[in-house]
Amino acid sequence: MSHDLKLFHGYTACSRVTLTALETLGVPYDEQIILFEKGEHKSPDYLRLNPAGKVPCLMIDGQPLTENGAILRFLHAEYPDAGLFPQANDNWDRAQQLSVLLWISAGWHPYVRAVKMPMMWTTGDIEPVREKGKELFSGVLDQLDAELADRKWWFGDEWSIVDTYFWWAYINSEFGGFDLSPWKNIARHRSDNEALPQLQRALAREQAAYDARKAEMA
Amino acid sequence: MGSIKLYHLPGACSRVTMTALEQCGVDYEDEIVMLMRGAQHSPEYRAINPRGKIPCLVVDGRALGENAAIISYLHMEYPDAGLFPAIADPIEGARQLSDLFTISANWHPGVRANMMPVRWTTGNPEEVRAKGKQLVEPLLAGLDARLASQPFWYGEDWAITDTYVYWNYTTAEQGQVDISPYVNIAAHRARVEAHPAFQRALARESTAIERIGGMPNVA
Repeated sequence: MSHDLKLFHGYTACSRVTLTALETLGVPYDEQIILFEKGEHKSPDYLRLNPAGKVPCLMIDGQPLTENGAILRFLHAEYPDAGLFPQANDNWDRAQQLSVLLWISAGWHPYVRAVKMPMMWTTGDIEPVREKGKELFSGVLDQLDAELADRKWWFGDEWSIVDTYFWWAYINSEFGGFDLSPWKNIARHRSDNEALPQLQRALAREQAAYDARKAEMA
Repeated sequence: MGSIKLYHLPGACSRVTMTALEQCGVDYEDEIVMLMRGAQHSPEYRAINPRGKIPCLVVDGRALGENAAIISYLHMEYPDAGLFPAIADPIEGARQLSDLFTISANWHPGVRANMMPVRWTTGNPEEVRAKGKQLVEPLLAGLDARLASQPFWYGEDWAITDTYVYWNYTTAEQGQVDISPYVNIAAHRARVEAHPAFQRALARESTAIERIGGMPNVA
């Protein structure tokens, strides 16, 4: 099915995963970068579309849809041949695909926040939050690394958008000073992700959008 | 579905999963996982659910984790049970899923900061509790506004989303957030508590507690 798509995204935010999904579809889409440093996520125009003031937000034929995991599932349902997820044989498979998205969204993402932006979890001293975040994050990295010991991607031989969602989460922890080097299978998974043409196109598009807005304001 | 078992803890967000099972009229077993004793990290439990979390639904020996994924699974298997209202188009279905993500990834971690701040720090939990309160308050205000013109999340009819958000705001209340200023939430709370599937889930939790001879008194 064909839709008119426009993505609101942020620089280095988890909307990078949504951009990668759109690049995977190979259909035309529009996008607009929201500059958090300019408070654009709190502008009345944006809050009307997405009252939570977060990215990503995908406009589908003029209607907003928020939450990365829900957007990825919607795109998969509407463009089932693009390969965002493996073929599901039954509801159990579909539920497992959803479960891993929820694990990343409600587990990994808040932990990354504790490591990278601990001030988001405390009104006081940030270091004990970062320390706890590192402990929590190490726990899920151990689990992912063990899962990746005998296969290339999360679901097996084929990439899915879940792999790029994991990638986004762990490279963000590195921006927060976290050392990823002990996890060898994750290091390999990282370079496999970074070699993906759709990820490279998404990063180039994000950078171009950012540079253009910065130049406009300079 | 074949043999079904829910791993849960009375009062935890698995109460929402149990309500969903009751709503669908599923025949299931249940087993308490003593989070306060770290039982979720035991080798026995990790063999069932490597993520070491509850709820976990085991169907014919295979495990499914994450509350919202279990709820969605039940809705796919029992589309007429009324877990969610009927949808007019795929975007509406995607919005229902988006709401589950928001509650799992926004509400729940914020409520955790408030109710169990030690989960987010090795230092002073009170500073995390205070931040959790700041995170939860705009969510409560948004929910209260939504409920001003309708009795439930989606309108006239109950959805499992109501019970999920209910669990979050009542848990925030245990974390010392004063929810009494939100009059629409107070009315919503009474409606959600009166829902028959929720009542059955509470009774089932009580039975599970009796079966193990009462909840241990752990500080």
